[in-house]
Amino acid sequence: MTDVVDDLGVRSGPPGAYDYEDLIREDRLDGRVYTDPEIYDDEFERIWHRGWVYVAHASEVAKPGDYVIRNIGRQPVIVSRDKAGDVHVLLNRCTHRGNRVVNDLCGNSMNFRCAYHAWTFTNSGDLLGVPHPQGYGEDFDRSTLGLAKVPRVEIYRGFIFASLSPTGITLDEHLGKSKQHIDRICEVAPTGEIEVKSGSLKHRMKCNWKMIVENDTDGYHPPFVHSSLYKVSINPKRAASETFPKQAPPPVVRDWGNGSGQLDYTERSRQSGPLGWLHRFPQEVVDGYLAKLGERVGKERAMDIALEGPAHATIFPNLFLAMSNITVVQPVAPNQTVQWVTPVTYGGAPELDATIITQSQGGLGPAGLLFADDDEIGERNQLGLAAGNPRWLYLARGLNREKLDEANGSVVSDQSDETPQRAFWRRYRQEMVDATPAAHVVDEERA
Amino acid sequence: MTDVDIRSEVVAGNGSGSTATAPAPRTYSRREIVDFLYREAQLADEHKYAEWESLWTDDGIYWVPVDGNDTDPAKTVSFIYDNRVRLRTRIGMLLTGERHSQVPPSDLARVISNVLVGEQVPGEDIDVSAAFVLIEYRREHIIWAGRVKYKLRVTEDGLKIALKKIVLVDSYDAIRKLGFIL
Repeated sequence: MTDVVDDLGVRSGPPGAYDYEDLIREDRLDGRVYTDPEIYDDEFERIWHRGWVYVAHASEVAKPGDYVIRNIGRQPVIVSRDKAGDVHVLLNRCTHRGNRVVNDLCGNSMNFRCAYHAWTFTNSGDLLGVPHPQGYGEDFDRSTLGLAKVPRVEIYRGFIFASLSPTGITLDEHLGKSKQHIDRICEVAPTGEIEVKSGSLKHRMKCNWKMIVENDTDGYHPPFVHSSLYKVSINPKRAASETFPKQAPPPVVRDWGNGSGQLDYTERSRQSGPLGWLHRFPQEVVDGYLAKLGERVGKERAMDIALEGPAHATIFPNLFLAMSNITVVQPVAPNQTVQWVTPVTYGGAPELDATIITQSQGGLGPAGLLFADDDEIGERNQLGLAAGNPRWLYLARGLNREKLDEANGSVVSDQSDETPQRAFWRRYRQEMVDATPAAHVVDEERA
Repeated sequence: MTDVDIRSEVVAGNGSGSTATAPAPRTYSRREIVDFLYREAQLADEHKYAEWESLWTDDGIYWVPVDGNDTDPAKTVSFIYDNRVRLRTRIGMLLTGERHSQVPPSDLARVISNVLVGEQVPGEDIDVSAAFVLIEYRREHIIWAGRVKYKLRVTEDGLKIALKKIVLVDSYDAIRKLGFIL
């Protein structure tokens, strides 16, 4: 037996040796879930290349011919819109010699030509032609040589999700109650639709992807990790205090099931006035926004939406709706992840765009006044986990006091509790235990 | 202290509103401008944040765009787009000693070269461009490189930075955390 040693010196056992019910308990986690290359490989098979993954927003491919390239787990894909207006998610691999066909990050083209031998495909994946076709026999059948399609693609309110497995639970079943986080950000727009057109901050972090998702809704760390910001800007009294500041009312954390966690600022936002969760706008801006939103949803509902704002919640496995930002994690290695932060624009409310951009780039991304420090802590977490003892990370905070919120079916607890992290791990464990090996698209076609 | 006050003061200093204290318009030699850039680089490398901040005009913009050179900062998010208020916050955080991404501070050494100095017109900022390579050491060597565009303003206290725009070679890609001063 050959042990595997990754670059952090973490040893792992032979492939397939892991019992995920043993590694992931309700109140603790085996540290190897963040470091072990075999576990990392299992995640592609059982989560990224099998289940539903957020890939792009429909507004990124708004017009016929638009495309972007992305990854689903380890697999490069093209997200394109054909001339009929339908969205496709295609594997970005020429069916001839395997070259990556599309290489520009985004663009507009009705067909894609491979640079190697000029095989040319429509933007819905069909093989249009190959140079010198007489080199193939009479049985050469172009119809079998189109770009592989990701077998399941569903769009919910502009959010494009894809699954590399032809079978499995529906997107609706996958999302469960976490669908409401998408509804909530869309409802803020007077048109009911958000758009992605303000660019993205891409951030390469030297930590495991799961640590980032967990940190997204961790309400325990901010007074400590972000003490420097509180000291100079937000509220000096909040900095590094042992007790949480008395905010009225304080945020809470929630477990919505299906792996979705939330750090819920809703009640606090309501105290800040309409749009106060974003900025203190002049009254005429607020009134104008309320009037536009009211045309779609009515006056009363418009006020509620304006007071509550968007969510601050995760959708398993890779999506974090951080107020007005779509945040996505892309695993690169057991100890490396790229996080995308993409501020949205609210349809019908362009007057909010510049404020959203200013706020996003202030706090988030690699130079963000918040995220740069989360990055450092995540990196040190990865360094600490190279120590093999103790075996466990302790995940019990709040188990003694979290409770069912009968108003909405979520489990709710104090802002500092690890309720959202337990939500993530419960779903993760279910996927890692239940999964049969993913049926790769290409394997399917070979069969 | 507001941006407007300072800006009018600077304009006066540049000769468009003549006052008794306004310095005579002068031009800066290439050598003086390059030395200014070297001093700025050294202060940033050595984490002398307060001195580095003193090089700025009060309406200065410190900008690290994403996606190349041509983005509109009002319409596209930037890695950094700091006005002076936000830059003050960024510097203030570093000065607390609790900005974890710079605890301890990264070891830095940068080289600035290929300096091109634009035409000097009295009352107008001086356009200067340069290329830079910076090695950060923080548990490993991390390379930063790109093109820098400055607008330098002539003031009673000498040259000040009114704009520093840094276009990284990897501005389209994912970059590492950026807690220090580029």
